[in-house]
Amino acid sequence: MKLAYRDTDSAAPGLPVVVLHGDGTGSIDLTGVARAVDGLGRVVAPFGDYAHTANGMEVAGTCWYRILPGYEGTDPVSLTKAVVQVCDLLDDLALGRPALIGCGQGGVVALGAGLLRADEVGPVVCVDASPAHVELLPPAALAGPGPRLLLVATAASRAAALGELRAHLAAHRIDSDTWQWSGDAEGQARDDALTRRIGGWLEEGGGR
Amino acid sequence: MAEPTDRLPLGERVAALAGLAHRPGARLSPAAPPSAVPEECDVVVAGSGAAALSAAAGALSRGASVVIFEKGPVHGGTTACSGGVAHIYANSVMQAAGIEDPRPEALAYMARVGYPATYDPDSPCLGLQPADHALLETYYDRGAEVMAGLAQIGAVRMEAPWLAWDGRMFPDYFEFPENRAVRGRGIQPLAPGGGAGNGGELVRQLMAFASRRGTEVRLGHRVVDLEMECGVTTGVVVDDGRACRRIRCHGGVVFGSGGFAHSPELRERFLRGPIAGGSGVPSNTGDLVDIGLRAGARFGGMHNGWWNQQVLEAVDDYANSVLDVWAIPGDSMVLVNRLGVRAVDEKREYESRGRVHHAFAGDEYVNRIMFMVYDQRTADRFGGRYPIPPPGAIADHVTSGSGVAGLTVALADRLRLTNAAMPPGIGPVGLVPGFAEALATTISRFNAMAEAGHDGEFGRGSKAVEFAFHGPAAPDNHLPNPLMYPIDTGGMLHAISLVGTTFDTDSGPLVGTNGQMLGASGPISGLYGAGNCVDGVFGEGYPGGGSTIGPGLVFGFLAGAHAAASSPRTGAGR
Repeated sequence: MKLAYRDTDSAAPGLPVVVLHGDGTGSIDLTGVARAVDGLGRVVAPFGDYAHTANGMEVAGTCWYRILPGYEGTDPVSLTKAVVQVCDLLDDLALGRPALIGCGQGGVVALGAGLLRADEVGPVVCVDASPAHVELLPPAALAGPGPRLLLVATAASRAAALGELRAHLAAHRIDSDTWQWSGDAEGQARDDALTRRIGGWLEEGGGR
Repeated sequence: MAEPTDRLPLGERVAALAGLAHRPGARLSPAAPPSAVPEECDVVVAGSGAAALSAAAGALSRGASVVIFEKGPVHGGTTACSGGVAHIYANSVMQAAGIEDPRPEALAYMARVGYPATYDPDSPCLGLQPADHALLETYYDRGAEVMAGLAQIGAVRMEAPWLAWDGRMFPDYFEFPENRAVRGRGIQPLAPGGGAGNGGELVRQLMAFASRRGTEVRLGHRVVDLEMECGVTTGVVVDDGRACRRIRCHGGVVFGSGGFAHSPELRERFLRGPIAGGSGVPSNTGDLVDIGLRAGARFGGMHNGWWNQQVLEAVDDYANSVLDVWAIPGDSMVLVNRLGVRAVDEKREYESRGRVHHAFAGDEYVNRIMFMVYDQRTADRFGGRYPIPPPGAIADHVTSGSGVAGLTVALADRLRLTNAAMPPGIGPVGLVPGFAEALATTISRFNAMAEAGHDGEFGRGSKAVEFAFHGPAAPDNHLPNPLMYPIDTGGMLHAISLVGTTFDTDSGPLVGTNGQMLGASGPISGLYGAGNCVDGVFGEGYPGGGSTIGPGLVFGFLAGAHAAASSPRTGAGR
């Protein structure tokens, strides 16, 4: 099944952005991220902002990739499938070197698609991605040179994971920029900072 | 709708990229790193879902040493993809809420749902074979006891009521005079922070218990054969992707290894009707079928499964769980077959909807595809509830057209594409000539029934379970039956193709009331099974949410405890 997606404006000038959501259990929803990319250009969001419910099955139903099985997040088959589906979407839409931004497990999917299609995508931003999931990516993804990459942690409590993620990638000779928010866990201040940092990094050409 | 591409099937590309063999049923994880698997133990457990982990808990609680083998790349099996509900009679949640669940009525309910062809309330075994009746008695008598046992040893507390959206306990799936309880039989694990946990939480707690008792799940290890001496199971052969090795066990082997939903070959061989695949983990390929045959097990009905529906384009024997269509959202919506007529109460639970695909009428399986037809109003009001995409989404699995005529043309076009790539088990499907007229008639009849508030064809809106699945009524629906609303054929109509699938099968070797597999001349010493890999305790029925996990937990625990007691090191010996 192809991904269902939202598409703001296929004629919008500027940097096209593909936004990939997480499983709904992370610290950040897409609101802050969506604001960060607002105005950059066309935004494509596979099944973006479904309303989540407390029922685990409903949460799963809202995601275009199933985050399975259960609590630890994901597995190599599910993750690879999500990556391939995103690559298919990139092929179908022919966006022309879009930026990929993902939250939580969506961040790892963005990373996987960005690594597999390094020549065809622009910068990649991973927000609160788990270092453990990097090792679940297909080997081919970790073999090649990476895209321009920004790793973001939205809370001080995620700083250690951010460092670990960067080290993981460095072990595969994949370089990355990092940024972490150290203020209050949630709220306007954090979202504003996120908007400035991600938006700024993308506008500067993804750190280069 | 996007143009078709010449891409290989998604599953094959995923498999190739992930470095896996791309054959359904093939190994799903890279070879496991060599690890120190003990050469002997008391109890071997195959699988890591509810049945397997409950068996491990039952054995560990009696002091046995246990080794757990999981052939997949992740632990938890189909349980970890689930809501973690167990259907348990007279459970502690019901007792606390003052809900009575008397034994005669509960047994009659299970018998009627599970064995509808032979059910006879006046016969001593309710029309069932005595062995099948005995399993239901054991399930009633020991279900709550096993839950208490799991809590007492600190494995998992199945003490949270399974609640519907309205905060009420979820009702059972069938309503008969003998079903006195109706609500409260579904229970979920208590989560650490309070409230109900899902299947992932159930697996996490059972694994944590095993870990505290010194047992881990060994991933990427597939039990491929048994070691038997003089009719007694003395060990297993395990393939870790690099080599096979023997592990000797002194008490027994418990299989909790899942059914065969993801084996196209076994589906074709055993199941009747067009079954497109499964919703559970792809490792559900029926390993126990051949192992049980070699061990001399007697088999139950091999045609049973937990039926449901999937979106046609989502079917994938290789995916790590495919989302089923848990409920059909919408009120201005009908399901029609290729003749353009309804065949089922659309708001019933997944099992009743799944079974309608098996119907043979005229000269064909007439319901191979059921088209979920809805108007723009339902698209707007129920968008975001799978499989209706959220408003504004561009979704490839939806076919749209203006009015009945436009939708019919679009659907016919669509089928020409999908027929080229139907999943195994489903042949090409076309609309009959006159589909548009038939659909128009169906909709106008439905609309009249919606205005009157009464579905004279299939009784839509007549059962509690339908309201639990539907969720809150649409705010603009003030009709007497909020599960129905007239379909507006003046605007855009949409259709999603659904096919019959299964969570997993529950067909396999017969087991006795202690979980022991049965051979031609009685129980096979040292060989046990529970959950979807063996003949299901509920026959062909699905009495309520948790009917898969409940028997897995109960008979898994009993089997593990019995196997532990059979080891000369921990029990009385054989």
